[in-house]
Amino acid sequence: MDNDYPASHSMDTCFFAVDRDGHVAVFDTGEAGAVPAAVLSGEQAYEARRQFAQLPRVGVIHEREGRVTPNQPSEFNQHRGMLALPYPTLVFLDSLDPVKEEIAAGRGIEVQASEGVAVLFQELSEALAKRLHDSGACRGCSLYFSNEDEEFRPDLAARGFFSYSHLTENWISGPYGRVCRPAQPIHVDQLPPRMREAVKSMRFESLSFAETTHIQPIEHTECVSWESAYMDVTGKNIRPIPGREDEYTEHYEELADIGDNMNVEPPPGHNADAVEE
Amino acid sequence: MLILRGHEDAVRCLSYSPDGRYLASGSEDGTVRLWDLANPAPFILKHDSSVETLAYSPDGDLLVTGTAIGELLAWAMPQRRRRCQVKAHVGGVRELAFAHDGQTLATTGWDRLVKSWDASTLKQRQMLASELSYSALAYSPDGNVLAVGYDDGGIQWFDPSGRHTANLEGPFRLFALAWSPDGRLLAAGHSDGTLALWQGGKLQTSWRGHPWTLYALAFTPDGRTLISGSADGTVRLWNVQTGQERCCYRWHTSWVTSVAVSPDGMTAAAGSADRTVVVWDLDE
Repeated sequence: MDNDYPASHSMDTCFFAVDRDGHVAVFDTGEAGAVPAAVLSGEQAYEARRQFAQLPRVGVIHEREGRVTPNQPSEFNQHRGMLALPYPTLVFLDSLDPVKEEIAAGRGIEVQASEGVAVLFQELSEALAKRLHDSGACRGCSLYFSNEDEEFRPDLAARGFFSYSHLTENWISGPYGRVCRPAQPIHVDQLPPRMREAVKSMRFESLSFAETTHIQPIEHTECVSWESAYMDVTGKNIRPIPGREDEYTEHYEELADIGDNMNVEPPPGHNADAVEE
Repeated sequence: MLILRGHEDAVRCLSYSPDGRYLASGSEDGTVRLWDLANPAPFILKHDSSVETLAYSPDGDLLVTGTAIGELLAWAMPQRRRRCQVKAHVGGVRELAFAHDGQTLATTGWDRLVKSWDASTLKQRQMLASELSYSALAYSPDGNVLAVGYDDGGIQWFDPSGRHTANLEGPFRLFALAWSPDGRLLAAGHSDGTLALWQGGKLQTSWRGHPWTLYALAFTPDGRTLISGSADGTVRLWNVQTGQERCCYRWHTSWVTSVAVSPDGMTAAAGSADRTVVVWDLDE
């Protein structure tokens, strides 16, 4: 396989996988998200993604919990839309009451959510962002970059795929979170043979996408990544990516200052006493 | 109960020989294994890609296989020799079925075509349909109806001349069809696990047989029991008269792709993505 990965330029790619139930998922890597070594990625993955756009359309259910990095207490982790940046923003609420006027005025549209309700705003005004957060009405919000307008990157949740995105910034290879689920999941055996081949090179034999909000592929298979360190699926531990221990050693000191709520695993052979001296 | 192991990838299709002696299993590993149920070592027929579908001719002289690269292959039996081969569908063959006389074969492919073929020469006879994504097909036992299911959930009927005679509207995507041995009932399996029974072109009854997609259906020769296999990994037996579940088997560690019943109705088999085939006694 001649993958465009890893490369010196952007590593923003995607890969596909099948779970123990035969359901199919797409993983958007951002940049630092780990990619299983044996899968299609780079341009081959995007070509496959374009092919999947031919599949029958299904409804999409947006997930709040899958947009949140586990064990990260900062408010920003759960409310990435609170800065009211000029981008589409997805807001999860208990009810539509706080945004009735915005919906009536066409500034927001309700979309299907796995819990409570979700409203997609083309742009969340500063005033509305403040009102929703000051009142505690917002249960979670995030910027929402719909791929649907791009022929290059069709929305595969709308074609029956579970959709996972890399959650952390590029300082580490973090867990992926399930940001959308299909109303009717497609099964790998419902794909034409060529598409089936594209997705089944990665099998999460022990996982069910329907039951799994966060996934760290490094915990399941050999992966490649920009980074030498990864955050485990609990968000509580940082470890070296197997095979990248030497690079990890170089970054260990800065990683070790990351915060009290995380355990940064020392590199192999690390002498803690020597560091303290 | 017997577990047949040896395939190196998912088992996709099964067919008993008409004399009941052999069970043929096709797999994504690119082989067909001919299991002599009295002898544990199977004979292997190699293919160039995944074997997506297969069927014995009614007289047992032919085994026809369809592959993921669109080839249709006819194997002379019992010699197990490849008799002929043809490129049948672009993108892969999905399903195939013999007509009752064994002279005609129908296929569906990922190219959204339904074709009929001379079974002994694999020369194309007709293009029956070319509009939809056809996912399943089955000839009625008297050969008067070819039922072809499509992804939107409906079923098209064709008469022996290839004329489209009826269209039945189904509720969800359809992946399996089977006629009862007396030809009165047509069973359909859908993506939501619904099992529908059609009689005379009318929906007689339907029920949620499985929580997930229903991939395989087969009637027992007495027509009293319908066997279903599903993406939920189970095989279920149904009382056709009442729709009641008679039993549910969870032998497989992955989804069930195929089921078949022996011609004498004594045994049945289920193939799975877990690479195994389970054969069991139906009187268990």
